[in-house]
Amino acid sequence: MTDGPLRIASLILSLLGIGVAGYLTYVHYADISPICAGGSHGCEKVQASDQSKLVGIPVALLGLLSYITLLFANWLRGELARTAAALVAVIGFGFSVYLTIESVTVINATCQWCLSSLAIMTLMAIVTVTRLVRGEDLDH
Amino acid sequence: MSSRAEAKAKARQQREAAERREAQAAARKRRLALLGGVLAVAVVVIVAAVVISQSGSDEPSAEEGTAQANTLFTGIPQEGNVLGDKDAPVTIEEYVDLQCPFCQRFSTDGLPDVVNDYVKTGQAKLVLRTLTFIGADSERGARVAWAAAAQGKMFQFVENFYANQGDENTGYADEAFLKRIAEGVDGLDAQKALDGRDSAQVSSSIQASQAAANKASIDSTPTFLVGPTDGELSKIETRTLTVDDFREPIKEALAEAKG
Repeated sequence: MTDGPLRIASLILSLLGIGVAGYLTYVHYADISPICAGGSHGCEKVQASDQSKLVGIPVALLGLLSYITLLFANWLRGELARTAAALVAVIGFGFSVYLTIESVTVINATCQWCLSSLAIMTLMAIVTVTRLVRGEDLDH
Repeated sequence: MSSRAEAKAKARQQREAAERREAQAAARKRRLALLGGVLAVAVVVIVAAVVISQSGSDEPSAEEGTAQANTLFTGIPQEGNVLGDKDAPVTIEEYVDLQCPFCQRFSTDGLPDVVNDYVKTGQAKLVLRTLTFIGADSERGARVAWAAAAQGKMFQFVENFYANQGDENTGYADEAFLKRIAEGVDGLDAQKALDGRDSAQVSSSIQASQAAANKASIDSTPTFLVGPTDGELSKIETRTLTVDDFREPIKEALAEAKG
């Protein structure tokens, strides 16, 4: 097996993540409600929560920056790029899990967009860690 | 001769294969070490982010919210759904749904400063109007809020409701919840408020709020109108849901009221 399919998968996941986080960032700065199946109140509640910001920066924007970084790291070749991608993806995955736990147990609401991002980041962590561990074996 | 050369070649191949295996094993070991490093750094960053996120939380607990509900309005005249001096030069109208999370957010991030800076100082009065578009829990809460208004405790009840706000439309605003919220308000006769929630006056107040919202084309909460008392009120932009959203509109309304 070559690195190609995993690299393409990671690039597709990066673009999907940019779409989701980009939309949530837009919604935040445009001061509008996100479109959610079954009504947007769960999303609004999560968006209005304290956990929606980290040191004053919207979590959606941090997510967007992470996915953009992942897009570049997955695009570049070499071990350093694979290491950087795995690092960002694992951090993103861990923080997404924390936010989801907070949203269920503290905020008492879930946002479909945030859950989508969690799913993307989970797959991204699996793909990037696999690429890092198998690294050169896949290159040859 | 040829068999000796073959044996040599075979030995070389075996040696090279062994060297490749060793190199691959070393590379794999290095990559696993890299992964270990990645995981260690990630754990440190995640823990730091979680700690910052938790410490940055300024959301008051339900108990703190109840305490705020009972202290924020102390010493301020309150009649029905009007907080402050009824002759204040500026009027702020707030349209809320008790289940709305952004209304709850304003109650913690913006209301205390608005009350302290403008209502307590007699520059503005705050008029509360309840909408019930989110669902049945909104109406159940609003009914008791209007019944509490008859006892001059509407604002305290609403604040305490926000402090204990649950997941929308889950039926959380049941009898026990409403009783607990009403009983948490100092000086409110909780039973009287609960008994009065189905009165014609309460129904009429809820309908009047909706009619006022329709007239002003208000379809989301929280929405704020600001203007000179007895003059024309205008919708304000609420970007931060803090007192900053109000400073300029109130300044202009004060100037208009004086002029």
